[in-house]
Amino acid sequence: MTVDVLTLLANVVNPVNFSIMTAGVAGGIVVGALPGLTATMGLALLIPFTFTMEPIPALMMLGGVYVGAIYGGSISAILISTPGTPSAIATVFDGFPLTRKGKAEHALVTAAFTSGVGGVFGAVILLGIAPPLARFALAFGPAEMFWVAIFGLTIIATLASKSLVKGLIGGLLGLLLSSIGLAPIGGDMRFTFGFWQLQGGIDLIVGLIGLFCIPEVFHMLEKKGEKRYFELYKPQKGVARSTIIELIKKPVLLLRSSIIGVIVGIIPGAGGNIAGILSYDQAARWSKHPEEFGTGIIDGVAASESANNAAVGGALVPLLTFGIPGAPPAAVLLGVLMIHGLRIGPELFTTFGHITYTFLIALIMANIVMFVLGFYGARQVARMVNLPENLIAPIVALLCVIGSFAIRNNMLDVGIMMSFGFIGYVTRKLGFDPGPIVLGLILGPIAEIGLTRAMLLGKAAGSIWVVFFTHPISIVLIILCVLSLLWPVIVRERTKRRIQRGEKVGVE
Amino acid sequence: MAIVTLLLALATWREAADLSELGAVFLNAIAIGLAIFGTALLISGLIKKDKTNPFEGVTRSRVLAVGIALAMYVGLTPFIGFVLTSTLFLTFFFLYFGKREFKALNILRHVLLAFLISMGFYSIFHYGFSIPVPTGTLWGFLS
Repeated sequence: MTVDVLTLLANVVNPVNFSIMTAGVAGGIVVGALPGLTATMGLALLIPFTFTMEPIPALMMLGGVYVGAIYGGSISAILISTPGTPSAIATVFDGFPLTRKGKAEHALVTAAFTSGVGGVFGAVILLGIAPPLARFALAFGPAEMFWVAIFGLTIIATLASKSLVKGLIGGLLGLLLSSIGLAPIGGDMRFTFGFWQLQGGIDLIVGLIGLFCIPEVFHMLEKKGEKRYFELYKPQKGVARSTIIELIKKPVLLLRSSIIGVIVGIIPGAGGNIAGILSYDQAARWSKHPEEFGTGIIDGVAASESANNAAVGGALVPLLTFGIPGAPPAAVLLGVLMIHGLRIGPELFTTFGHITYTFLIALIMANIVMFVLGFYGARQVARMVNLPENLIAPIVALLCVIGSFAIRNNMLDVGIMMSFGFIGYVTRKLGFDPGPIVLGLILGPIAEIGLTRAMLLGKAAGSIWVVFFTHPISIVLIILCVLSLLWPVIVRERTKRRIQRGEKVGVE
Repeated sequence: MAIVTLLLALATWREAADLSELGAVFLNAIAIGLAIFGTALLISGLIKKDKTNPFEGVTRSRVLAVGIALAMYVGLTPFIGFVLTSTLFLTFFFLYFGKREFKALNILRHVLLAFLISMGFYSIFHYGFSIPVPTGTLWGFLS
């Protein structure tokens, strides 16, 4: 079956379909911005509404929600240091410091623009080269997945720039927390202390809200005096335009982040959260001023947001070609495709080509709509930080309670979230960043499953060494791990030498 | 913190001892890592003593007030429900961390605002998104 491009475009711009998609994007932004409501949850909630809809508007709406929610996560990450979705974890690192400096609009416009760029890039890649890329992702076996997780953990070196040892301890604590509950292989029960609710482990969102958000409630109110925790936001003319012009001058950053996003998105199990962190890490490494990352610069927001939105397209590559969802929201989309009788595989691009290609073009359009909504809404949203801190702080806590409860309707999760918050506040004071702990929590299951399966394979093959250290992808990943750990040392030595040279020049 | 890390390593190792080989392998790896980096942190702490106070400038009573309020929030919610607990919680923050004007009219204004905010969030999540919010066992009618 041949697919007529004009017919596809007509499907996308059809007023009804377009309105449904725009509503999906707007709804997705709201869902994403509310901590505890994830893109997956938003998509899952809408499934019943699609039962009676035609496949094209149903998929367009869900695509819009997916795109909008991933961007929406950045809004709360920037304004209240709480990633609305796990994908926006790395956005907090520079987005929130920008808000504290009174530059919330800069951060929000950056997020909207770079999310749009990353999202369009991911969707174009999805449209163009889906099948060959999906085959590459399938080459990742258990050992390779283990090394992917270890590579992710070595990123801690950059995330916790103050102390490598503290960063690595934080990462290990995260891995330890991820091991609570039923062992993924073997079925052993670990660290449950008699609570059946802990058998399912600690939910990532619960840990994330506690570690990132509750410490901010303390920070907002811990000091007496007139000085505000947030600088007042004063609307200035031309901020949005000048920010976008500045971002356009950084094509390498945007392209690199988008490519990272697509590649990570394609790897099953590694979603927008890992894409954002990896991309942030690379942006810091390649920057001429890595020391500015984490202090509130738009490059950090751009790196995270373009990657996590590009990961949307990436996550759909293995889904549409092999039926393997690259991320949890993609798994929900898989369910919707099946509900509407669309069979995964070659038929999706032939028999159902008019639906699939319309959906893919709609994804590109959804990203543009998302940018427009984000661009014009940024100033209004940024005004929120001008509210008194004794109003913002309890509302943040209130959202934390709702968000952590909503995951599993469980008050124990709320208690765990709050405990994480207290621990997060104290450990942050002692120089332990929450980033590595959360990263460990995310990568724990991937690392454990990879390690255990690869060990089983190794035993069956007669050599664990062969399974872990001889596959080409594993070797590349091991080299990347070593480089990742050595990089901060190299940079530190270089900086030392530069300073020494500067001093000599000064003496001369 | 180094001591805490080493104790955690020990606890992890002990937990792994009672598990099957497959369930223990990952925990053992974590325990070894914690022991290595905990020791490194201990040594670096002994060599380079850091005398800066991490809580400098922080008002203890304020931190304590936030901590107790948060703990009470979690503790009371299962009994008197989300709306009532949130109203109490918000009112406390408005009054204690605000301008501290304890006149009847001012208190009433803050209670009303707190109730409206709590009800607003309850309505958005419960009715708008069909997301469950914690309900109380004592006064179910206000959940």
